[in-house]
Amino acid sequence: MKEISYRGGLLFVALIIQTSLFPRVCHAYVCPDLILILICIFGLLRGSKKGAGWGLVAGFFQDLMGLNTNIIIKPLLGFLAGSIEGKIYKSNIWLPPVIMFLLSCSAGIINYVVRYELLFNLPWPQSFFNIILPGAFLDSLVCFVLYPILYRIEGRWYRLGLSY
Amino acid sequence: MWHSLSKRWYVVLVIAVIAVLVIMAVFGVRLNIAQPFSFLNRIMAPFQVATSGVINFFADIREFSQDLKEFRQSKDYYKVKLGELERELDRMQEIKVENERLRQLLNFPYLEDYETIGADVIGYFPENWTSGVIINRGKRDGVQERDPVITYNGYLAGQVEEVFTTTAHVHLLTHPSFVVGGLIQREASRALGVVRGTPAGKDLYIMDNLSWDADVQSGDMIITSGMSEFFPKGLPIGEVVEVGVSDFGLTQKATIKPFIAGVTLEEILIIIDLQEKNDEGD
Repeated sequence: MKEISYRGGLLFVALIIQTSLFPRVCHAYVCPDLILILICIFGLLRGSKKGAGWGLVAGFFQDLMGLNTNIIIKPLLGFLAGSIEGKIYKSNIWLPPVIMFLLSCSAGIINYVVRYELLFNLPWPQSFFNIILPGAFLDSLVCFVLYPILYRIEGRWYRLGLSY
Repeated sequence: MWHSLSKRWYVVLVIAVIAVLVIMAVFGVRLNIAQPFSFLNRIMAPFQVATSGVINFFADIREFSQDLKEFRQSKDYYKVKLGELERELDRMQEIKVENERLRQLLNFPYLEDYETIGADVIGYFPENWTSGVIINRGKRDGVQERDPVITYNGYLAGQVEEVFTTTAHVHLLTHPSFVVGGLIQREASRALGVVRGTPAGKDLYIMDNLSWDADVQSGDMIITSGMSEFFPKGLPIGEVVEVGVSDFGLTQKATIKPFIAGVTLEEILIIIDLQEKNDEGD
């Protein structure tokens, strides 16, 4: 129950920020994908099961906003992020932003290839250099800030025996 | 459930996900979960309204102080301008009466006046690829799919894509799949083309398929052509900023700065009776 309220609450707040605050702040520019960042951090901290599971939940809610690929892409990326768990030191704060950058690029490329309305209407080089790369850079930057915070929170819970 | 799954099952799941992605890419399949779960949209809407309300409140305070400063500086200018516009309005009223009389004489069809309803923007699409907004009007208010959406100044903003009971999703002009017929609003030109968004800058559009000898110049205003049944004629879209050749010189293309560029959409108008009027016309 604690896990559902903690992770679900975080994702819910991220979704609200993503749909109302970010587009106002970065009008006409690329915004970071807070939900993707959270999913990947969950995966990196708690493994592929949690990453994929919460990716599915977040992707479902994101697709309610009229999109249609997140329910597939988010669990996949959560799973990929989670498969790295155990292979890197969780206390290393420099590697997660790099992983985030790569995963964000992958998400962008999959989105571009899978969605025919993008594939047939947007030229590839412009899409890559104007949307995918800046988006990945921003995601990685936000991950650099968020990861240590979530790592500390989850670490404290784990030490207190409140973890799941 | 997650704990009981073996590693082999994970591989199967990942392969299944990749297979779905490949099917979506090859056959252009859309996984539309928004309609069957529209009740969740209704649950989300109050939170989005509340968040937008708070953001709008702070944005309004900032705008108010800026407006006040601006108004103080240009008070005299606006007084003169108001007088000029009032005189212009009187002249327009005369022209309108004359226009109606001449149309009657020539048995020429009247320009339609459409019924609109206002809506508040309560959210935006949560991704970088597409541009869309979520509004607080839905089926209950008479909104239908493909209804055109305009700003309060009458500029074309987009089109309703999906309608739920109390909310609707609107694709803005900058959505990659948004296409509208454009017309150069200059007496000497009236060239036709197709206007579409471009990722080069979210605030620039391309108008292509202009004939190679079309008379297009920087500063020309683009309006909707009215060729499509989903957009009325004459809605302002934007202004030409650059003209170039396309298709190896067979056609021309123009870069357009839309009138809604740089504007944060907080309220919009939906034209709700266009489709009915079209049906009546048929």
